[in-house]
Amino acid sequence: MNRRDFALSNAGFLLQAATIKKDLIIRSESPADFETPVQLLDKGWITSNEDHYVRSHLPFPSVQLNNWNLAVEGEVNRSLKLTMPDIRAFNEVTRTVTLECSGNGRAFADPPVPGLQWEKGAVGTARWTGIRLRDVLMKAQVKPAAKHVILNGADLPIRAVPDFVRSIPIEKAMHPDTMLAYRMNGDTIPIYHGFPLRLIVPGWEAAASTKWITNIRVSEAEASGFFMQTAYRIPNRPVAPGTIVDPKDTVPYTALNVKSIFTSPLDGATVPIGSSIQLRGFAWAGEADITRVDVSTDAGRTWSITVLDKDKARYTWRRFRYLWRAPRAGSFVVMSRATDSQGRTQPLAASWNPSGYMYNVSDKIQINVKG
Amino acid sequence: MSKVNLAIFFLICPLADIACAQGPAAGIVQKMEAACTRVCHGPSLIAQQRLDVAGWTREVNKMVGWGADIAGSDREELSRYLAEMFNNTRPRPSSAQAAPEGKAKNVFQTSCLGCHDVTPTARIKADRAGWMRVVERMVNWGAYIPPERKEDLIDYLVTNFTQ
Repeated sequence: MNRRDFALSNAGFLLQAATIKKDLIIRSESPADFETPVQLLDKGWITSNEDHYVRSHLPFPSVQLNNWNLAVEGEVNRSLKLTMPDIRAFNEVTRTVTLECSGNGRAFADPPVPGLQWEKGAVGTARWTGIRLRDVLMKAQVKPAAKHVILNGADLPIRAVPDFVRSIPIEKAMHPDTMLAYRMNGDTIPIYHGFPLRLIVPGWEAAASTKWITNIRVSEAEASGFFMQTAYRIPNRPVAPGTIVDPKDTVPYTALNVKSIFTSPLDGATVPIGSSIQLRGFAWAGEADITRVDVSTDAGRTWSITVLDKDKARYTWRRFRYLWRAPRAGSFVVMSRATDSQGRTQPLAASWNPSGYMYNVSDKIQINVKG
Repeated sequence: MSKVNLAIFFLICPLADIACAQGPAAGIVQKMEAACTRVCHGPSLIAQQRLDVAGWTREVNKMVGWGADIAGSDREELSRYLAEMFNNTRPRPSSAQAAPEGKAKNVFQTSCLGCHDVTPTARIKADRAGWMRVVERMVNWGAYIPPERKEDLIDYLVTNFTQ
């Protein structure tokens, strides 16, 4: 793609995305990376297509469905070339999944690390409809030697920028909950979320959920490129802040951490003394379930258990609520701390890593009470 | 140059306050634009970082490896420039910054505060014509402002940062 083509194609899609997603925080104009303000997440358990955060590594591709197809090849007995009607002929499934960018919270890393400076809103929950990846792989008859499934999208790199190619282990690919999605919240997936087909790897950091998929290669080895061998990896042991870590001393970041954020009130809100304030937000835990969320209104000295909403599904966040009466004038540090079914609890202090992944420190907001 | 024009002159250089203030840096900024922000990504991707010289050197070298056309003799100067402009002494770009209330607050936050904080905007006390010029220059510098919200943004700036 030359510069002119890039500028023209990207300008059009960016215009579309930025117009539709006008209320999001633009972390990068191009490639398009938009963060959801927490007050928009507060609207409900499901994040609308318009409000859902966007992460792109390369310019949006231009996709024409009439000449689109999905190739399945590599360590299979039957290579496939599937059209969208072929895809739709498989059994359809719908799953509600919380996706979170692996770098969500990177802006809080100390010392700072390079990358998109996401704060709290590179996370969202949508209903994804499509087919099981395993059904496609079974039709292709995966060979016993297969260990990984490599996924590539229609998005193209510029110059020598590496292509965005990711892989997942065969066990996760064959898991019945891993899916190829063509609808988001009941609508055709918008281009900025991966039209016409994207992977959804429930419970894993969202870079695994490759967008605009056109090629599936079953392989004995992981994907070899930058976005698998250098990026989206975490140190294999705790490191001191500021340490430079060799990629060979890292492992892929896969399942999400346990985490919670406040969505209301906003950080810095002012409320009248004696008023009843509903502290609320969301908590999620990747492949685990949220079992409880506690809040503190005294900077972590004491904690109280919150009420969890009934809306729940595996791989999704739970909304928590706590009614707090502002007791006296002053500025209060309010914190949240989630615990999951694997026994994990959010830490009160951050563990640093060179890419700012997995940030899950107890969330903290300041509420000012005025007499 | 009038006070207002001088203030606008500084504001329209979100990636190049130094270039505006100190002539010698202007050259490296132009090279950076040619190699980076007019080709592969927008300026906010740079402006939101807070790295030291070592960190920026790693980033510059990575981008060169990915095809950014930055001459070897320019890389050190560019890394130093970026570290001087976008380092850990800057406030973290934040959606929660104290932007004034108004119809286009969200546009201001997303299109403007991704690259700079409120301070340089507040320095300017321009009239509507002045803000229109500033906004056009910012767009030329890579700011993305949804066309249908541009008038709202100008109204917002005039209301909150006027003479």
